[in-house]
Order: sequence, then structure tokens, then C-alpha cells
Amino acid sequence: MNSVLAARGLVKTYGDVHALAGVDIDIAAGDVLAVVGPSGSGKTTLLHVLSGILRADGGDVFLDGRAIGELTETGRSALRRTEFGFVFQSGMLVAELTAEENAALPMLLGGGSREESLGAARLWLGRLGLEGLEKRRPGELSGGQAQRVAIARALAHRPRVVFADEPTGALDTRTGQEMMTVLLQAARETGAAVVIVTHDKAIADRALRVVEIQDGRIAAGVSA
Amino acid sequence: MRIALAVLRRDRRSQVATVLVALGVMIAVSLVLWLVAAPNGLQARSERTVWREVFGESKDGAISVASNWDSYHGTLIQRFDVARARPGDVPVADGIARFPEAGEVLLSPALADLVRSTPPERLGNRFPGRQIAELGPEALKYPGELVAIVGRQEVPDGYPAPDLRGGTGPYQSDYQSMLTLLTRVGLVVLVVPCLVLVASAARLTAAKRERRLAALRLAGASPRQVVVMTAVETAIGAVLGSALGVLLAQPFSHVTATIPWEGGTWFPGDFVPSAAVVAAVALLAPVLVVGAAVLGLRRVVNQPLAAEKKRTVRPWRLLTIAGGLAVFFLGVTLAGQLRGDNRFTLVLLGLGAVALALVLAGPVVTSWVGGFFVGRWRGPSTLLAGRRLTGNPVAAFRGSAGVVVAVFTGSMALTMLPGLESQVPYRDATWREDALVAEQVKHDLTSLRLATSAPIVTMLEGRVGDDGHSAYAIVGDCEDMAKVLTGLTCRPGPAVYSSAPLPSTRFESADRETALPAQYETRPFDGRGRVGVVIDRELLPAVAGEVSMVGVPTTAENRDIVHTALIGTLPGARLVDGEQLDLYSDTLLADLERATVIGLSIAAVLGGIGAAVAAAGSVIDRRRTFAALIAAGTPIRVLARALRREVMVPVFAVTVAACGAGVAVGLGLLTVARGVVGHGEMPITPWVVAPVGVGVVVALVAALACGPVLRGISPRDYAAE
Ligand SMILES: Nc1ncnc2c1ncn2[C@@H]1O[C@H](COP(=O)(O)OP(=O)(O)O)[C@@H](O)[C@H]1O
Ligand SMILES: [Mg+2]
Repeated sequence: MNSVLAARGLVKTYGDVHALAGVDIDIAAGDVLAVVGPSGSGKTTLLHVLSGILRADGGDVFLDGRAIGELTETGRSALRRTEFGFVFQSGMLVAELTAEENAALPMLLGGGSREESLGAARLWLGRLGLEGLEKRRPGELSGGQAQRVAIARALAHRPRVVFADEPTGALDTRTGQEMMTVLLQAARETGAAVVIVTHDKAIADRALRVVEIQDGRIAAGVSA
Repeated sequence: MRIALAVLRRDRRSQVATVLVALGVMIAVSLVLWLVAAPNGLQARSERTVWREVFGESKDGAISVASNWDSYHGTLIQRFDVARARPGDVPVADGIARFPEAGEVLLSPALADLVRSTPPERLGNRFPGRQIAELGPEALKYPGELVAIVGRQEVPDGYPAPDLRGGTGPYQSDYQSMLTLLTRVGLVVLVVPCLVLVASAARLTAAKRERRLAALRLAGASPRQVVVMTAVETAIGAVLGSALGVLLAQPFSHVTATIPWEGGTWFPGDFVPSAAVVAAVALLAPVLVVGAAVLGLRRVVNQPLAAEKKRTVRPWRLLTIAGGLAVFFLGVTLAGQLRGDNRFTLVLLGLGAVALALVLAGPVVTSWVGGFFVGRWRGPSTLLAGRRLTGNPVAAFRGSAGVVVAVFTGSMALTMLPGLESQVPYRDATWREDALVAEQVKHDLTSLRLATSAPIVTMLEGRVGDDGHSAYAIVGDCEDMAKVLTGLTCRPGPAVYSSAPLPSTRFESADRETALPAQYETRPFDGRGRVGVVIDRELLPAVAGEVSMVGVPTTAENRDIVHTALIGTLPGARLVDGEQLDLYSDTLLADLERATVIGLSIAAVLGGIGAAVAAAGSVIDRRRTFAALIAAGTPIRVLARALRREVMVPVFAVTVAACGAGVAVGLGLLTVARGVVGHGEMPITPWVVAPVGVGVVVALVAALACGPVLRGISPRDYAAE
């Protein structure tokens, strides 16, 4: 398998808590990986280390074979901005920006021009069934709509990997499932890999592969 | 209640907020106490000097008193010549050992020192006699004041008075009204930034608290419990701050006592406010703060988990500026017709209205500027700042309210100061600068001639003309008078020197009437002072020997000696010395400038702190959003730039408006002052825009406070709470 993102022997400790105790993972382009496990097992920590938000205490993460642990904070920040996309639990949209501006923000921050970025954002909002809502603010959107804006934001700059930490946590079951459908379909169109952290069995079932984490180790890797 | 305490013990952000609330309340309380006490200081001063207000009381007094201003090397001396009218006990005020009989003097300690260290012919001889005691502090306006009470055989031009104790009660001088006005303005200018500080501090926790309380509400806590918890959290900070503020006011009053006003500093006790005032302020402050916090929570209590909506401001707020100015000018107009304290109250109300209008209109301007940015942004920081300004203009503006009010006051002060400068007692240009002139001279001049070798010019004052139409005239020897009068050029032969044709030939002096001859020569006179006509003595033989004024041209060398000789040998005569007038007006301006600078510096610093806390608070409020942006790879640099823009832009826009309002109001106030004092120019200097610069710099420094807070945010904080 030709992996985009690979983790080797990841270790992360907080004092004497071993949040990650030697994790190996390979993620290929177009892959959809669900990370499941009980609360406090280290799922969020794994996602943070994989995406370069946190630096591993041991082992490293490789993007196209390049070790990201060797990058500076600025370098990892640029990496997250260009190569990765993020979907957070409750959207975490900027309250004052409109839907299209929120979706365009990563491109603008990456140096994209106003027209180009807003154009791409509108395109994605349309694809995700949000046409007509481009000028709304997050406060004027339902939870599901806000989460679709977040998906548009995560995908508009065509990242290699999309990370989602409990993206359906604040949604009801049906809206959550709808959101998953939208996310997976959008990822398939761009060829991005998706890493989803969830504790919801029904959501995990939508993934191609599921890894279960327990006490910072992979307890079971299930390939679809 | 117990939950609140538990939260406070554990949560660092609650602690920071509580400390800031305490700080804000502390500064506010001590400032208010300070400003409230300033008029007390004046009260104390006038109570100590009430013995000096002895004039016009009784027709036949036990004593006779003449009060005069004198000066020595740039310092004013107040002297009282006293004489007993009949035998008997003369009551005196505290601090005066006893009534000085003829040949006895009482000097203030500072003057006594000065006399001891100066040759007597330069100063000491002005107070002839034996010094029987020094004046105690109870009789002095301020430490180091130069005062003399000189006992005389008789005081020809004195006023009758029953005693040297006063008792008419302290009167209100212009100076006193001025300081009272300044302290009231100061109250507004300094308390607004304090309120901003307290409000921002209280808001530091608000975002978090609102969410936590909403959760509690959902979990079934009653609205009352929720409110009680908030009140407790805020009250702890407010009560603590209030107590500290009262304590701080003590050392503060000692610092204040070293700020000179009206020529001198203060006694340490002068600024101690009364216990009732202290208690009232100390109680009221926490009540207000807690009240504000509880009101702020209404929203959460009434509708748990209300969705965050776009908060707009309506342009009608702009009208409040017009309204505020209207109230102000109405007040000014009405004030012109009133007398006394009511006038100032009215003007103050107007000032308050304008300041309030500025604060109300600020968010509208903020939102417009934001709209401008939103229309033409290129980069993300401009977009973020612009949207923030349009999306929540009230929050964006809140922090800069203190700075805006300070800029308003600063521009107002800078508009008024030069205007006032042209108003203060002008320099009398009648006499040459090197001349000393004694008026109301009824004395024999032999002892003066013995005391100094300088030329002595004798003159008689009077009026030329009819009852309806007359000019101020002096009679003397032209060649002599030219040594002391300005604008007089003599030619040989007796003549009348006049700037205009004489209304008639009738000349009238204090106790005689005579007339010019039918034929006389008139020559031009270019005097720029009170004297309109100068007449050569030969033309009025009937009054040739009479003298009512003595002038002496001096050199830098002998000025003190001549001054001392005039005062020592012509008791009760009024000495005209340009130096004194200049001193008085210099003091007034220096006082005003000092008060302005002190007040505005404090306001700027407070405004800066308030703006910094507000800016930091606005970052903390949006911590999770920023954390998510950082997690998604936003460089902190870009966020910091957006935040700086967010703080700076409204400050800049609104301070420009505030500066304009300040100039308008300053001109309005000058008009009132003109009604009181007289005429003058209305000079506006480019300096009036300086406060805008200062305000922007202060805001910039405050904006930098965002940096550390932003760097303190971890990208993982998006999931916090
Ligand atoms: N910043 C931190 N400081 C200390 N311990 C932490 C921190 N973040 C996570 N942990 C600990 O690491 C473990 C794994 O946490 P996390 O990755 O958030 O688990 P999950 O997302 O599966 O619930 C937990 O025991 C948690 O208490
Ligand atoms: Mg987690």
C-alpha cells in the first residue's frame, strides 16, 4: 500500500499518563479510517500527533516519507494549513464571518486571492447543498448546516488528509449520518484521506477501516 | 454560593478576573475619593484664611486693615497693614499670636526666613517693626506662603473691621470654582476608564460563565441560584477593591498635597474626605459593580443557551452626538444667564451629555469602518477585523471608550487653554516695565527721598471733561513722566498730550476742580494703557503742588531697593508692579496646565489599561475559535495582525470624532468663560489633534496585549471547557 501518512512507534506521555504507547498506522490516499475507543484512551491525542498539532515524544509521523517531527512550529503550521483539513466537534466556525468566508479562510490564510478563494468556497458550499446560504453567519445556521460549512472549509483547499475529532458529537443521529455521507462523498471526489475519531459505533461503521485504541495502544485493527 | 467559592478557588481565569475587578474598583474608588476631596482642600484653605476676608463688614471697626499684593523675585507676598482705631482687646484668628500694635509685625515662617537671609533694604524694610511672632499654619493658605501683618499707627486707606478673625464665612473665588469645575470634569474623565476597566474585567469570565451557568440552568439550577453565584464572584473582587481603594486614598492624598495650586502646595490634612463620603463611596462602588454584573447575566438566566446572533447597532445612535451637542450648547446658553454654581452644574451636564453621546455613537462609527473594510479586504486579517467590527461593534468599541473620552477632554482642554491664556488679566501697558508706581499717595515724600537716590516722579491723577464724557488724565512734568509712562514723547514748552481731542477744559482731581487755560497746545500721545491725557503742570497752576502718584524708574540693580523704599515709606499706598500681574496670571495658567496634564495622563494610562484588558478579554472570549484556527494552521502572526487592527481601527475613527467634539465643546466653554471674564481671541492651535495621536499610541500599546494572550492559546484549546 502506498501510504500518504504513516506513523511509526508513536509515544506521547503527560506526566506518568501514557496517552500513546507505541502506535503504528498507515493511511493511503482515499482511505477512510475511524479511530474508536473508550473515553480517555488516547484518540484525540493520536489525531493531534498525526496532524502535527502535537509533537510526539517518541517515534514520528511521515507525510510522503518526510518526518514532520523535524519541522519547526511554523513549518508544521504551514503543513496543517496546506496539506490537511480539519473538522471540529461543533463546527468552530468564526462567528462573525459568513459561511462562504469561513469556507474560504484556509485558502486566504494560505495566500489565496479574494476572488479565487471565495469562488472555490462557493463551489464547495453548492456541492454540499448549501446554495443560498453563503451569506449567512454561523449563528443563523442549524448544527448540520454549520457542520457542512466546516466540511467545505476543510476540503476547499484540496488537502491530502482530513482530520475530524468527534464531528457528529453535537448532532442528532440522523443529521450525523447525513453529515458522514456528505463528508465521505466530498473526500472521495478530491481523493483526500479521512481520519475520524468517534465513539459512535454507527459512525465508525461508515469507514473503510476501523482501529480501536485502548490505553494508548492499538487493540484491534479491522480492515474492511 | 459554595459553588462560586469553590470555582474561584480552582479556576485561574476566575481568579484573574476577580483580581482585575478588584484593581479596577480600587483605582476607581481612590480616584473618586481623591477628586471628591479636592474641593475639601479648598474649603480647608479658605477656612484658614477667613481672617483675611474682613472688608466691607462694619462701618466703624475696632481696627483698620489694608490688604495688598507684593512680590519678591517672582513670588507673591500678601501683606496686611493694620492699625487699631480704639483701645481694647482685638480678637484674632487661630495661628495669629496677637494683634500687632504699631511697630510690631507678624511674618509667616517662610517670609521670616526670606527676610533674615536678605539685606533689609531689599526686603526687610517693607515690614518695619519688631517681629513679635511667626504666623502659625492655622492662619496660612499653604506651607511656605509669604504673608505679613504689619502693625501701624494708622492705615489711611484701610477698611474698618471688628477684629482679625473674619467670620463672614469663606467666599467663593473664581479660583475655587475653577478647581471645583476641574474636579467634576476629572470625575467624568477618570471614572469612565475605570468603569471600562471594571466592565472588561467582569467580562473576562463572562463568556465562560455564561456557558457554565447555562449548563447549570439546563441542569435545573433556579435563576436565583445562578444570579447569586455571579453576584458572589463579582462581589468578592469589588469589596476587596473598594477596601483597598479606601486604604490607597490615604497615601494618595499626601501625594496630592504636593501638587501646587494657586501658588502653593497643601497641608497633608487638606485632602482627607469626610468619613460619611468615604463610607458612601466605599459602599456604592461594589453595589454598582455587582448590579452591573447581575444585569449582564439577565440574558443567560432568561434564555439558556441562546444562539449567538449578529448584534447590530442602529444609526440613530449617531443622532445622540447632535443631541449631546444640542444639550451642551443649550446648557451653555442658559448658563450665560445664571449665576454661581448652577452655571457650572449646567455646563457639566452638557459635557456629560456629549461624552455619553460619543460613547453611544462610537459603535456606529466602528461598524461603518468595519463595513468599509469588509467591502475592500484583500487579506484575511482585514477581513477578520472588518467582520468583527461590523458583527459586534458594541464589543469591539467597548474597550476604547475610556481612550475616547480622554481624547475628547484632551482636545477640549487644548482648545481652551490658549483661549484662557488670552483672557487672564492682561498686562497693564500704562507704565514702562522698569517703572514702579505707587498710587493713592497722600504721604509726605521726604522719607522716600532719603531712602533712595533714584529719580522720583510725582504726579496727580484726575479726569478731564464733563460728567458724561471724560478722560483719565495725569498732571506732572512731561520730561519726568516720560521716564515712567509709555508712549509719551515730550517737546519743550507746556502742552497737553492727548490721543484724542479733549471733551472740555474742566479738570477734576480727588479733592479739587480747576480748568485749563483757554489757549494751550495739543500734541499727540501714544499711550496704550489707562491714561488718555497727559498735562504739563504749568498749565494747571491751581494744583501744581499736589501729588497722588509717585513713579520711579528702576534698574535691575536697585529695583528691590526702590520697591522696599516705596512700601516702607508710603504705608497703605498701592504699588503697581507689572511683575505681580504677570505672576498672578502665570500661576493661574500653570495651575490649569498642570491639572490638565495630570488628569489626562492618568486618564490615558487608565484608558490604556482598560483597553488592554478589554482586548485581552476579547481574545479570551473567542479562545476556542482562535484555537481551532491555529489548529488548522493559521499563523499566530496573521491572527495578531487582525486583532491589532480590530483594536486600532475603531479607536482611530472615533478619536477623530471625539477630537472634533472636544474642539466644539471647548469653543463653547470659552464663550461661557468670555461671558464671565471678558473678551479675547479664539486661537486654535494644531496641537488640538495631539490627543488623537496619544490615543492611538495608547491603543496600539493596548493592542499589543493581545499578543501574549494569543500565544498563550494552545491549538488544542478548541475542545476545552
Ligand atoms: N493536556 C493534557 N495534560 C495531561 N493529560 C492529558 C492531556 N491531554 C490528554 N491527557 C490525558 O491523556 C489521556 C488521553 O486523552 P485523549 O487523547 O483526550 O483521550 P480521548 O480523546 O480518547 O478521550 C487521558 O488520560 C487524558 O487524561
Ligand atoms: Mg477526545
